[in-house]
Amino acid sequence: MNTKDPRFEIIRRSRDGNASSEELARLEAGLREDTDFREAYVRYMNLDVALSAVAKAAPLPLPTAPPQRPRWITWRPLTAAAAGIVFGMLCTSVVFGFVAQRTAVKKMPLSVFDAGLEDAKQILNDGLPSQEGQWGIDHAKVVSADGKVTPLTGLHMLRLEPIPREKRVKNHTSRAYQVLDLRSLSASAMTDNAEAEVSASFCAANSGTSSRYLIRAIALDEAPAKATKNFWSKVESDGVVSESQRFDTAPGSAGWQTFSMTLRLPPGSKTLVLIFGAVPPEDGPQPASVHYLDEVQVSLLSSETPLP
Amino acid sequence: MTEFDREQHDHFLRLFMGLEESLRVFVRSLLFTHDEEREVMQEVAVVLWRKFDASMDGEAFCRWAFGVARMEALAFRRDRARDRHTFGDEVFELLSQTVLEHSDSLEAERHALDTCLQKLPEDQRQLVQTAYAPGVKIDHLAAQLGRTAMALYKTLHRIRLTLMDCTRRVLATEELT
Repeated sequence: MNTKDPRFEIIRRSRDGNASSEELARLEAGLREDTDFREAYVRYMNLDVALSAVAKAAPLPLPTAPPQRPRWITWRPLTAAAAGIVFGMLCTSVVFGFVAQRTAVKKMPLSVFDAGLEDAKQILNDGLPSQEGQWGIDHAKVVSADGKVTPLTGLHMLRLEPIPREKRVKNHTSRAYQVLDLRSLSASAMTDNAEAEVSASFCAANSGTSSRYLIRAIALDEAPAKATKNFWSKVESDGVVSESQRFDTAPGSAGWQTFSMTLRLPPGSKTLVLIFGAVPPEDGPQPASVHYLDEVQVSLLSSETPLP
Repeated sequence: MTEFDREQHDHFLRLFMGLEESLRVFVRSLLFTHDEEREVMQEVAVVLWRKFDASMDGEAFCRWAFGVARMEALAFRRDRARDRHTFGDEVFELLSQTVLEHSDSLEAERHALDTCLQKLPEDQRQLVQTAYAPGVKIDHLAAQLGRTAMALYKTLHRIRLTLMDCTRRVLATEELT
């Protein structure tokens, strides 16, 4: 079908959400009865998907120079870009983007232990766990539907309890932790430009007030058992790459909100520590309230070698 | 994760990655927005991984994966878009056949897109990349550009058609050479 064919307009209208019910019915009839039209429709959607991948792989402004390859010792925390909203217990989405530099970006899921927080009987570690395969928490517990809040997916979620202001602790953010072992990742996956994309969904019990959530990712060049020893004293050291992002919701933002962030992973990263938290309000009249966490997901974004 | 789990995971990824783009085009053709497509694709990936049977070969995995994608798209439309049009079974089947039959040429067109984007005037290329960036709303972008949303939709449509023509020409030239 030639691209000057007026029937492309109905494809556009359906694609853009401008089509009426009658037009969608005509579109369906065309897809059912006309092979050429069906192929044109699929080609149009193919292009649409590819353009989306291009934009995701190379957001504006376009880079003017290839990134320098960092070394462990000289790495410093890098500014993370907020990534797309992602849902899923273990999303296995792989995106190929064909961009100006002819670089293909792959998105590969990393296994997160009980990503949907579905195991109500699991033993939650008090604080940061020392190995993968376990959730760690500060003031949190796995619950099923709680009041008006239901899990985003599945039957359970993590309830992040507020920590009373009067409690004498260094940090009043209720948190959940997980440790990922990156050593099994192949060298081809851990390219120079590899990034970890971390996403999580949060929900406030009281949506009438603003909320602040935290996602933090920390990459270390030691195996998990060693990396988690004296962990907090290492966080600011040269061998550690860390990125933290806070996400604010406005009063009235009811329901689940999904946030994501990315962390550049230096070659040689062996452990990834993830922290998710509900940050209490600054000093003021607004009391800390209960929040919930569900559907944590981590993906490895890696670029293939540019084609000549 | 045990060694067995890792092997199974790697096996799954190899199969899935080989099929992912075709599945995405299929899902996109069944739904009406990128957000819907992304959400359904994520659910598809979750279901495929959860129920993955490592004894499946590539062909069986392909059939199964398209079936799952179809069911997930149907479920999405049933649960989340009840007021919207849903294609019937026959069209679902025809679209999946079309995507699979043309998977090689569709892939070639995606590759050719790189060349064609370079041929676009700079302002059009930038517009496409901005409009397709995650989270960008066309009405907001149109307001920033001082245009109406409909005008922007139509401009993007014309650019897509230009790119479709271009990818065909590029592939035809490659065949000749």
